[in-house]
Amino acid sequence: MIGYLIKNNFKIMFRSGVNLLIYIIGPVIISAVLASAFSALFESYEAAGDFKAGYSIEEDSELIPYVDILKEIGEENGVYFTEYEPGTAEESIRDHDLGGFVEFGRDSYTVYKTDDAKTEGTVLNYIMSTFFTAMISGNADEIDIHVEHPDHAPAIDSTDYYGIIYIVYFGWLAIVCAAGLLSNELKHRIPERLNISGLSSFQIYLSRLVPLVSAVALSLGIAAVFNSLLLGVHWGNILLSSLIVLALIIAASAFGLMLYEFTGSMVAAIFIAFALIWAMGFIGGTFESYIMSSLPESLKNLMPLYHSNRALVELSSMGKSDYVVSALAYPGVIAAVCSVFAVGTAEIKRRVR
Amino acid sequence: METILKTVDLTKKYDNRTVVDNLNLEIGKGEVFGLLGPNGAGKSTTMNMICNLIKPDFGTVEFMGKDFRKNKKELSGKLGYIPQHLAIHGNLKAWENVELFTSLYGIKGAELKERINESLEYVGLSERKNDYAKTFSGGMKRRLNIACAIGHHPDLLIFDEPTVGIDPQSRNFILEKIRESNKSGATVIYTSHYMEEVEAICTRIAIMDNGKIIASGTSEELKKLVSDDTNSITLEEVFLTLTGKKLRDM
Repeated sequence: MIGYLIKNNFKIMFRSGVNLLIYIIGPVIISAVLASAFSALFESYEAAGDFKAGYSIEEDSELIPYVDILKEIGEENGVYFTEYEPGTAEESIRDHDLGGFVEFGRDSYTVYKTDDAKTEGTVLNYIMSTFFTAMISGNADEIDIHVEHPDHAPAIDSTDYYGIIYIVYFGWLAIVCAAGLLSNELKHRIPERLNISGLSSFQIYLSRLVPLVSAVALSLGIAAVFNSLLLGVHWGNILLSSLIVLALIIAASAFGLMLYEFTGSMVAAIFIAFALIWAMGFIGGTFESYIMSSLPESLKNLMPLYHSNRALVELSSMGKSDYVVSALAYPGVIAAVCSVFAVGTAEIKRRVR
Repeated sequence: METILKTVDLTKKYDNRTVVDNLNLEIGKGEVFGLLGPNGAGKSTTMNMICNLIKPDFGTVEFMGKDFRKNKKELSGKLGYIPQHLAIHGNLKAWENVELFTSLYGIKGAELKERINESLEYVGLSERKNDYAKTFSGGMKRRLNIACAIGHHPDLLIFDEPTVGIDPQSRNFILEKIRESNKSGATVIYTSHYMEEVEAICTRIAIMDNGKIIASGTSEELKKLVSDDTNSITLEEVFLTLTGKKLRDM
């Protein structure tokens, strides 16, 4: 009964030039721009491993009480500190084959890096800046720094990372693809006609969800192929990766449709969805790489985007990921809960009218 | 005459304001029933309750002898609603719009194709079946709006001001089609602000104001309520006499 409705709703979404621009061209262009902009960051990270670092400290330095904490954090992250005489940074690096050197002054520090050990320098810099920030705010003894060392080969590069991450991000913004259809329905009061025909709230919901998921999945599928062909993005396990992307598109579509039912306004639904997805993306690795992010792991784990991002990135780089199950289950739960709320809200509105 | 639609004590209130007040209507099979009333009289609310879009606070709508709300699934396919607004998709072709709405009534496959062609032929849009609705003129969109509501061959057609904002040719075409539908057996409920249209096509007319039917009958019977000389008075004069000249949209 709703097969033709689904087919025609799909046509409306897929015929929209704006949708094609957003979901096919958008991820390709943004991936290319960000991959290029952050390529150095990922390259320097590529060869990260355990290394030795030196440090020296002035006798009157206010930082003396923190050095032991720093050494402990360093060891936890594969950076082994050895103390040298002040003023010997450059010769110590050269003579003792150090990955970097930290010179503690009275109330400041200087990181010495070399061209031969860019990665080690970047890691050292990251540890020091995170540690120093925590120290200034008085939390140095509670600081929890993680420099992740994915055991993959080849390591993820910026092209793979952003090529994958922006397919996920646009997937989570699926509701935008339904904007034209739902706005037109609202403007021309088409749901009234659907209601008169005897369709249930669940059937009307399905007639939106199925074409929305199909249109976004197809568009992003094309974008992913373009990403692979034009930018050289590797997807690893294609079947599993496709399932993860499909799961997140279903969840995002259900979430967006639920917001639409709650607000009764397409603009409001898109605004709320965009704000929430942006915040989740900010924490979950869409803008700042989750590999470099110093945000607590527990916070990242709350974000469904993080699970999708991490599973897909690890599938691409390592061929396996512990996050695959959660990247499928988390969106599954979201889709189920949002669908119940969306249909329930539509039914309540219908009955009280 | 067999009754096709009956409202029994139909009542709807919004914020303690009674919009439809114990309305009792009976429409016979084969009638073209005109419902007139000034803005805010309660026509649209009545139509929405008849179509099951709004739940009455009190009373029932009996359609083909059954409570419409309780037998919605069974009876929905026997009703065709042509709304005042253009409930069509601009980004679909004419035939796709008809397909979408006709298929909602369980019609599919070859039969659906046949119904699409028949509906478009009926409203004179066969030649433009492959064009997008957004490229149509106002009159063509109105005709497509009708085609979308008749493909499932309903027994009762409800036209809610179907000729708003279109040229005289399109209006004349639509009125002709309503007459044709009626001749082929469909019962029609027609609302409009154009008195001459109602007078031209309706076999019985009811005038509604403040949620109640204040007069009903044939055009001649209504005119007799106001003047003995029915040739010298128009339906519009009858309407103004019965409902008053005071503006309603204030």
